[in-house]
Amino acid sequence: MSRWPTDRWQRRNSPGGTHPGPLALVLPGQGGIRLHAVNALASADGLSVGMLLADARALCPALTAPPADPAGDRAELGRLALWAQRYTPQAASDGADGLVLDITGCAHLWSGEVGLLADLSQRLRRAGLTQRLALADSPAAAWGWARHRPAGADEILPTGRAAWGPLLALPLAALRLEGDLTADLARVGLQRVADLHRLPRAPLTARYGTAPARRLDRLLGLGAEPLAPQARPPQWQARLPLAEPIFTRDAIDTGLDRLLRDLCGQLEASGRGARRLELLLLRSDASQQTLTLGTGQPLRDVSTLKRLFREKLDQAEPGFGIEMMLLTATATDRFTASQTALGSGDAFALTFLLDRLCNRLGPDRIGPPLAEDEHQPERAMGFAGGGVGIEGQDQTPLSSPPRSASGPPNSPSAPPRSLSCLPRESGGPGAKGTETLVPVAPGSPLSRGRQDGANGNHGHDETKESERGLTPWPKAQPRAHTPRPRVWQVEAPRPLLLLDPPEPVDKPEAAALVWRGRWHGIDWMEGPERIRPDWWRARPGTGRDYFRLQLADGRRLWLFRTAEEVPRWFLHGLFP
Amino acid sequence: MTNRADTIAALRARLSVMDRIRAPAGQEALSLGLAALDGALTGGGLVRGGLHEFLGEAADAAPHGFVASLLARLPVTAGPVLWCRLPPPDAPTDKPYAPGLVCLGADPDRLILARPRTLEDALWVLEEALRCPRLGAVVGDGITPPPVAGRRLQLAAEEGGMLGLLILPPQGRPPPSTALTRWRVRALPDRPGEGDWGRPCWQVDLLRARGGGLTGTAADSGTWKVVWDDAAFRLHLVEPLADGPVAAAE
Repeated sequence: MSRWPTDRWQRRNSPGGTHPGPLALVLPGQGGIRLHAVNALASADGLSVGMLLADARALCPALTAPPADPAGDRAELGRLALWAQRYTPQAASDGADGLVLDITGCAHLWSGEVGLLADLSQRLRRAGLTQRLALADSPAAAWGWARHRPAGADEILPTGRAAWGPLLALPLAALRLEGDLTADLARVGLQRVADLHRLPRAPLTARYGTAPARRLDRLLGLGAEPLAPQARPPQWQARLPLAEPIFTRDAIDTGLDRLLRDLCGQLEASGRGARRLELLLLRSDASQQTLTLGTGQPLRDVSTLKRLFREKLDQAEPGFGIEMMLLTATATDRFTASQTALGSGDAFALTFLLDRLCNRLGPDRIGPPLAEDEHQPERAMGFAGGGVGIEGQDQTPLSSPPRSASGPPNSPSAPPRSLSCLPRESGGPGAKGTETLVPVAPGSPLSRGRQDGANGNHGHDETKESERGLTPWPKAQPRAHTPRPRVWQVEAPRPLLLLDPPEPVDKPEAAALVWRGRWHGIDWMEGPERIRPDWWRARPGTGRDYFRLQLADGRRLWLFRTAEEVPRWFLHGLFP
Repeated sequence: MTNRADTIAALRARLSVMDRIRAPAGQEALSLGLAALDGALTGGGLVRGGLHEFLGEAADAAPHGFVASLLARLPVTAGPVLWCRLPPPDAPTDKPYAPGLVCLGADPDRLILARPRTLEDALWVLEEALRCPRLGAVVGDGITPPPVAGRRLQLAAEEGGMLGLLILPPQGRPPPSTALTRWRVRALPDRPGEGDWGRPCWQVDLLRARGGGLTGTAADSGTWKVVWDDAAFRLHLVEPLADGPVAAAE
């Protein structure tokens, strides 16, 4: 979007989002004030970037020339990249005026690449942004194709080596080399990418460094080019910079109290409660410590959260002093206020207790046992780590943060496709004339995109989809709803204590057992009960013959013999 | 005269409630499932708001079985049971097994298992859980609380009105404690002739009980031999063996 600065200025300052006359944004430069960006009308009048403002005024007396704001442009471009995460989670701003989207595995949601491009193009156009889109195998190819493709060429490049022809025909500028380097290469007669591709690599690298060869590889999809997606700023966050580093527990408690008040106010304003909290302690020696906390249900009560944090703060190490505290709600849920009946003030006590146990012991150390549909005794009982499935509350286990409906999977088979968009240059290659610029009202796609993003679901809303007849995104299946046999099926006596893994024992004779180095006489022995693993785990020798036996002193044990050629004996459980 | 005797009796009754010897009015002690066992205790069963300790032998699940049979007797309206197991150092691998609980009539779906790593964590879990009035019972498995911690646990149980069942790890001489009752449960060989073949058989000794216990009975009646009836899901008293008790009552 090479008209990004002027487009942004017009969206912001002109009624209807369109400036009726020529517009140039200016910055003080060498020898006076120079043009930083020009709109389509201005460049039709012969103005170009870098021109002195005085010369520009002479050429075009009607010119409007407000000052430019490059930092604001960059920040706004970052926000636009966040909006573009409605298409793919891998979206980032690219340079000063472009966006790059890795749409691998996402295009089917928009009925293919063409549909995605059409939707993106339409939304950007309605937002009053001049653009040029391109779709190619690698980000570098998409960048070059968006900016330097010949007039009338298709915006989607074929995949694989079929794209080499059009890419090699591009001018050398499509390599995105530093300005001097392109000029140097042009001076020795290299005009197109193909000219460079034909040269032997070693002398080229010796003369011009590694950049030309590296960029060429990236353009042709031979070299990797990682994409750093734009990080979404945390939405619910409270920060507390401290004038003096703090050391004492009292001071940390007071700071946490303030942070919690702030954060809970934010959560209350948006009707949500925290499911996962992260407290970041920044120490004065530039090190940091993170304390995380999970809750079984959305919370936004200061005193409750404070009590949950009390155990966590035992682990806080101030070191040389804490100079900033940062509290972030990394996962939130809709807060449903429930009215408690009179006299049942402890209705909340159980979930609160489990939250605290879970936070201290870790989510894998506490939870209800789960009946699993398995034959092997040690697999028949699962363990819902941190899950608080008591009293019919269907809570997500704490170990997995609540999922949003987004997060498309990357399909490994599809070749990576990158998308780059760039403003259309009128007069440039591929131009079709001036765009009709449409004002952006609060309900327009761009601002709505931001609202969507703000709520954490950068998906699309369903009404829109059904209008266009697109494939709906498969709904994320909550893990708690997978069908489970909630019935404990016990066909034969089972031990009360299970040894997992089983303990090897010796059985020198039929009526004796050597266990933990001691000899035990066997009173009686009952069996065998053959238990095989489930068929997908079954291998020869994995079946087991289980025996119930009683020692002479009255203890009852659960033994098994492996179904191998030389059977081995294991103790697997203790009967009451 | 009668007036004074009535007053003293009423005061005694109040004191026994405050000492957790009897359950307060409107609340019932948890029956042990056998009239003979209940009769040995002044409160007529295990009183909530205190700890009850169960000793066992090494590598013997008898105390666990006895506790599980108690859990099966909790009223259905009671909350879930927190079973906190600290694995013993010599057998770090065994764990409570839910199908085994089903065999003893307890409902594993009402169970929450906690597996702390250290004794400090385990004591903290027990104390927090004993204070929470919404639980049905708290089981501490493999935990011998040091004297001070034991007193803390007892106070926490009194505060929450919670039934705390401690299964002590096997040890030679268990330390004195402030628990309300202390039992020893060990496995007995079954008696195939009596139709008890393969059923859990235990010898249950009442070692001590706050507020006396064993009122008006012979000295050796602190020992019972019981068998778990896996058809009727209840305990039965075993008739005394012909050759006398296996182990002398302590």
